[in-house]
Amino acid sequence: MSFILFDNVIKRYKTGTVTVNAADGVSFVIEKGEFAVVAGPSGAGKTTVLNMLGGMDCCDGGRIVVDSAEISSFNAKQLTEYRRSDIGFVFQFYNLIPNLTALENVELASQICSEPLDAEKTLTEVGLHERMNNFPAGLSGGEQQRVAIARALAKNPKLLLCDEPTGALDYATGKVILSLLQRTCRDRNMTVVVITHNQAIAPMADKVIHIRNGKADRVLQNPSPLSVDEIEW
Amino acid sequence: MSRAFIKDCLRQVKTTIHRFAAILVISALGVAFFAGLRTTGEDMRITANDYFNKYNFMDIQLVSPYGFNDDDLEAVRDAPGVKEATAAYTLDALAKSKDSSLTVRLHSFDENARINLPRLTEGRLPQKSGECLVDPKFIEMRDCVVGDTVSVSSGTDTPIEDSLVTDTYIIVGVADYPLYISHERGANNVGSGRTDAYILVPCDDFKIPVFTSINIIVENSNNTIRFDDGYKNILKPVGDNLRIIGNERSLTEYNKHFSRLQGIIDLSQNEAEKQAALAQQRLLTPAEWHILDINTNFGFVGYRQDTERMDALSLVIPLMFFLIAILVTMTSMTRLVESDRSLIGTLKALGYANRTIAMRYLLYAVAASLIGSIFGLIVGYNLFPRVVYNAYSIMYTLPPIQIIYSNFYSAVSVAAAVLCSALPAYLVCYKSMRASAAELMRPITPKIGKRTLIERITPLWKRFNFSQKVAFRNLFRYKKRLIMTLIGVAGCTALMFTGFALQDSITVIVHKQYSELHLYDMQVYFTNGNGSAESIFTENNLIKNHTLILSDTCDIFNDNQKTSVNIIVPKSADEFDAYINLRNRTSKSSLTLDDNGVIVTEKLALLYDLSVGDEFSVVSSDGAVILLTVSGITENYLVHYIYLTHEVFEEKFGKRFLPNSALISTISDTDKNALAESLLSHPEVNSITMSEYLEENFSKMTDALNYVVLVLIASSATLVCVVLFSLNTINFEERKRELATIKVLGFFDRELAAYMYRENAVLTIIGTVFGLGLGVLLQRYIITTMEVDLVMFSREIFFASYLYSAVLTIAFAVVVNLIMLKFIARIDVVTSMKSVE
Repeated sequence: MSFILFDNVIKRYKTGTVTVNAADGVSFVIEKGEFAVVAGPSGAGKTTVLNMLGGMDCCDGGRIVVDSAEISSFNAKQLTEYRRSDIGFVFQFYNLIPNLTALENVELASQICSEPLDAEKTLTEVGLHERMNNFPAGLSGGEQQRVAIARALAKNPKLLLCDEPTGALDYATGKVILSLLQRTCRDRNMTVVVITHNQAIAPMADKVIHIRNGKADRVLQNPSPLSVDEIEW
Repeated sequence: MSRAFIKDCLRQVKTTIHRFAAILVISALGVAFFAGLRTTGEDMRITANDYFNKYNFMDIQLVSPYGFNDDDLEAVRDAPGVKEATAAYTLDALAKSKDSSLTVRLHSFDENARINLPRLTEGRLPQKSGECLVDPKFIEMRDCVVGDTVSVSSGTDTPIEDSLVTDTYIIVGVADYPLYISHERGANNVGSGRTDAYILVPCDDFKIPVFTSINIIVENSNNTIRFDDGYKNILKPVGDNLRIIGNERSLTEYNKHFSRLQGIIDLSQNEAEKQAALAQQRLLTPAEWHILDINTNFGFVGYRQDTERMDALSLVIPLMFFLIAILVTMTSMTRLVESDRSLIGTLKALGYANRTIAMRYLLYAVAASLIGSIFGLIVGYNLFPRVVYNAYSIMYTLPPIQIIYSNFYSAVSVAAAVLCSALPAYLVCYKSMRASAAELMRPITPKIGKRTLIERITPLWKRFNFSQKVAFRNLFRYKKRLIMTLIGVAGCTALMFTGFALQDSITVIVHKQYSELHLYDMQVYFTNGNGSAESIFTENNLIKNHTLILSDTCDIFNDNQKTSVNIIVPKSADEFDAYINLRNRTSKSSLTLDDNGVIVTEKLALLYDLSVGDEFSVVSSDGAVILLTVSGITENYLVHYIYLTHEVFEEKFGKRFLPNSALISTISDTDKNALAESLLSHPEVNSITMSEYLEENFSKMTDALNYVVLVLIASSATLVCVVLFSLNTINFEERKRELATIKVLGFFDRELAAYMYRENAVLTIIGTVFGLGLGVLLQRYIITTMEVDLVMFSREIFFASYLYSAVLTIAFAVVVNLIMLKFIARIDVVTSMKSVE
């Protein structure tokens, strides 16, 4: 059985009398240790997929299975536990707590899970050992995103979920971040799912899932993913 | 302004209805409390003034030891500034109805007179001799009805028939009389020395050869309020003139009498008659006219002091209340505009003028605060004066209160409320609008995190766990919020505490006075001062013990005040502490009367700045000025007393010590009323004052104040709720994204709540502690300003008051935080994904 399974997943949003099928039967699988890119134009349903996969939202139909656990049947408390111990999040706008230093931001996540990695070591691994006592406001965008990745990794999650991780960054910095994510995936055998509207980064992924009109339009397996340095956009 | 813009403004209200409501309610509270309490004193004064005007209460009363004749009256009527003058009689007497008598004061009622009109509450006015109007208190105390008869006696050796045409009166009506607005009826020359009730009898029934007084209404006196200085200014020249006329008239009368006596001396053949005339001539002096104005009326002075007390109470508290309210409004409005940063950018990008965008927030702020303030004005003006007045109605007889809508306080409070919500809105808006549209649409740079001072104390900092560290840093990071919350919580706690502490100071005094200090049960006045009545007490087995005393009154004064003081001279100083406990208030150590001087009560010492060893002079009841030395200051709460041994009394007052009354302690469970009645049946007993009755009377006053204080507590409690709710909502909204992020990271709701509440808890507790400190100061200030001269409030604050105000504040905080728990549970984790707003 695959590590992640989306089986005909349906999500409807009701606003007044209008019902929008944000996910209209999404199906795909992601294997353990894969670097997967979920790509698609805005409004296609990428974020809906991420929200459901991240345990932030529940589906209205179909099955979602992560590491043999059927999270589509979880209640709110189970979803929180799932987010707490299984998922590492990386946000577009970093979402660091401004009043905590880089190290403390990582500790914030690591202190709530059962088998965390050492916060300081994780920061060193993302190349921020020198700056770990800085507050977010004193860090550049790329550095902030690296803190966010460290925060996600320190939880020792089963799955790293990244929502437009380069969306707020410039080209060069974006590449550094993607490279960090790719390395993490390879070195730790971490399953990484990156949501993006940027089709150009697809070649670096093991698997590319194109979402369009609420469906997984195409799922492409990439037998020889490129290193980040080799791709341009 | 486009229609879409107006629509947007209205929707803004709808979507932020919490905030709109909070600003509205808090403006309403602040304005209501401020305007309402500030005008209460004035409302009370105007109500009384209108009552005096309506019933033509005299401006000036002339009294003279020799009375007045028709020539005097004519001279007064012709005096400049005198609008109207009538002559009147008063006579102190005993009135018997239903087998027991009351000490009364008879006033002449002239149906043609246009001064001092009675306010008939029942029955009709007297039409012929032998009919009378009585005090409602008479009806109440004697349980009689219109139609009953009253028989009056003089209470002295002179029969009443010398002064009145009849001694039997039929009650034809009940009336309030503007001379008596207080339930306290004042002194009396006969009976118990204290007037129980007044009776109005037809003027023609008096057979007294001279008028007791001339009552005057001054021209234009109705143009001012009797409580104002302007009123005094109107009376002053008239009074000065009357004094001159009085001197002339007295001299004329003196000369007339002198020459009449001289005639007798010169012409009489009878040597005895000659000698008598000569003696009379020697005694004869021109009598001075005493010009009494309203400030010599006991009830008026008490009432004026009570209104001033209200002014004192409403000076600081509503101001503080108001400050807290506008502080919260300011915070709330600032936050609203700040959170709309990107929207302001969008509107700017769309091409809206700065003015129009600012208008959006100004309208919001003005609408919320204006609607709130107007609502507050209506409620405040109507509620607070009524509640206070209602409380005072147990002490005063006055018509229903007139509500004054003060333009000044309305304008000031509404302007302040509106300004304090509109100005921050405008300023924040203006600051935002100076930036470019593009800049505004980008997220705001987060505020730089900072290390707090505590972090530098590494050993201490290390002991904190992670969440405690975060809480600490957050506390100091959001300084504005820290200060706002501290001020808000501290202010509200202080207000509540002040309320409770005032109750402590007020409620205990009556009990202390009559259970700890004045231990006797009744004071029995004798008909004459030879002490022959003592056997009555020794025979009565209901009386545990008794002691003979002389009780009298004297006046003490300095440049700006005059105070009436009771003198108590015990026959035996040794056993006196069984009746009146003389002790130091703080150390509780007993004081004993000795020959070194007199013991004065604490408030008197306070008023006249007396300390042990000081000398002061008093004017005795027969007019002599006597110099006394303070040998001790005793705890006392109600009225003023001077205690002295009979040796000191005889030496200083130059009179023989003749006990005129006795203090009595009864055995427990005695029916005191029955005992008093049986004692009164002895001819040696003139009257009885029961401590129980005094206690009840004073309890009424403390009840009134207590009621006012209760309003204060309730209002403060409401304020605490709104303030805490507003501050917490603002806090919550400011940090929604942060909380959402943490929620995504997998924090459970309770962990999330703990993350936020830790700060709230710290702030609430610190605020409460500060508040208690502030409350102690506030209470001390208010106690000293609102204390009546006749009363000393207790300086003691019970632990319960600290507890109640702290617990209430914390309880409100807990409730508000529990409500916030719902908000936390409702946080949509997806919010965290969105861009920074």
